[in-house]
Amino acid sequence: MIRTDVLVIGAGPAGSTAAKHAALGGADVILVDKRSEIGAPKRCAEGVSMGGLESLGIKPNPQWITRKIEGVRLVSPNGTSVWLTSDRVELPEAGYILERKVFDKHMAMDAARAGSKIMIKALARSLERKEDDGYVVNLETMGEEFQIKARIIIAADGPESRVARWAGLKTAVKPKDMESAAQFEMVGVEMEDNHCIEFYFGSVAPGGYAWIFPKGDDIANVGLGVLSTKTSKSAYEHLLEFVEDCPATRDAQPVELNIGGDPVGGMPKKLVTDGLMVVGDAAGQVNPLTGGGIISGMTGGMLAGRVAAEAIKDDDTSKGRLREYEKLSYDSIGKEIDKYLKVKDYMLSLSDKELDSIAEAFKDVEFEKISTTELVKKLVKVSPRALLKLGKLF
Amino acid sequence: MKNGSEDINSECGSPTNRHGIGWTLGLSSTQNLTLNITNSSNDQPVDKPSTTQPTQQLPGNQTGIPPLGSRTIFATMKHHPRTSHSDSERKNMMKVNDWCMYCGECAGVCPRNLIEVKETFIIFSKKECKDCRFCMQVCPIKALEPEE
Repeated sequence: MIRTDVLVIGAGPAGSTAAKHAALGGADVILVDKRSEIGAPKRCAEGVSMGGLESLGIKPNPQWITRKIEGVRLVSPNGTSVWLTSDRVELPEAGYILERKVFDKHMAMDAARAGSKIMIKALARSLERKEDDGYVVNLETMGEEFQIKARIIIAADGPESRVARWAGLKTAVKPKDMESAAQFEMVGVEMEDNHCIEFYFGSVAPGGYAWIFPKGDDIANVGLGVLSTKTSKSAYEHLLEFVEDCPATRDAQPVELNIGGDPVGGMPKKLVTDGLMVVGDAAGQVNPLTGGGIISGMTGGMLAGRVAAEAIKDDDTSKGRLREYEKLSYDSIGKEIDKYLKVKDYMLSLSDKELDSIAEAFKDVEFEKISTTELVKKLVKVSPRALLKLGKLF
Repeated sequence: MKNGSEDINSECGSPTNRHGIGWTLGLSSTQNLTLNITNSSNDQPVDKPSTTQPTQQLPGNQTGIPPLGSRTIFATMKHHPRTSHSDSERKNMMKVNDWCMYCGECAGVCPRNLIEVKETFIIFSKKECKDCRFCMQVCPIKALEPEE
């Protein structure tokens, strides 16, 4: 049996960040992933904010950045566009489009450099609680079963979130809170401004939105997310229609299809139990409005990794000790999620017509900077109903 | 906060025997596990999500689904060489089509944590399935379906 202080299950950005910080804190760490390749296939539009990476202490690396994004275009159902670009708004570069296949591996590499061991193509299949002494996790790699005994498990297994549930945490997501998403990476995309990311709202993506995130001059991630409770068509069927109708993608050709679920219902009440913490998508650490979860997931991972290392030093892996992570998560990620949950609910209540009239009103608004917060503040100004529902939030 | 669904596993015994009898589906063969809608009793998962939607129209399905308990469909099954099934009871069979991309979304919404998504395999513990069909509902490419 392999023994370790901390076992991180899942080597996406959240898990790798947890492993890195636990190792930096002095713990023995093993990071496992069921796949043969970390970071692929991607199930992500690959957009991150520059500020988010900075807050995590991650230096931008051209190996995993495909594009700098300089503005945002919001498109209402009838095509009315609201441009948030440098001629209208004073802005630093707002964000990047990543290459997740490379980025994720580099985050895992950083965990390894910090001292974590990594096992790929290793699937966690069940676990047994050892009284006062962590867990024994049953894993399998290429038909061979083996066990790891760990004092603390960090569950980072993505939207599936099975590991936390094995330990009794309630991390299942209801269909109404799980975006169902499909995306093409395409070539021959003709954007009006291929340094801007585009968001398309309305019935084109019921319960979500469609996006075009440029990765090159004529290359883009073109995708959308829907709520299965709002449509009887699959995300993929909606995507085909979107690509056909959208002027930018009419003549574009796909080179990759990605799909996946995105938990947008917020975090569960409990993120910890004795000897276990849950991070990332597995913990619903996702912005409910944008569906973005890279930065928030990595933040959760960082917090959990630090707390895990300290708990090992304190020789106390009880849920009481680990609750520090839960509190830190709620104070940082949780507060943001709460606000954006309300915005999402509001946006979902808008008809195509209402979206069109908001877009029309937005065209004359002046923005000081680009951020989701700024957009929502302006939304509250132009729409009386938004003011009613969201006025006090921002 | 959200995610109030209770962990069904807590009522199914210890985490290690949560799997029950599992089904292994290979990617390459003609697996044909089919759904069996039975006259199962109304024992609901503890948290009672929307499991009883008697006239639910499945997204992507061409036909309506009759109320649960109103008829029983017996599943026919082509045996996959790597499938193990010592359980002769055939209910709640979920079919995984071969275009499944193993994204794991279905596993995330299964209230009973019955779906194991490996790199190129789905293992579905059908014995404990209560036929809520959330899995089929959310699949972005409609790779899961009941077999009529």
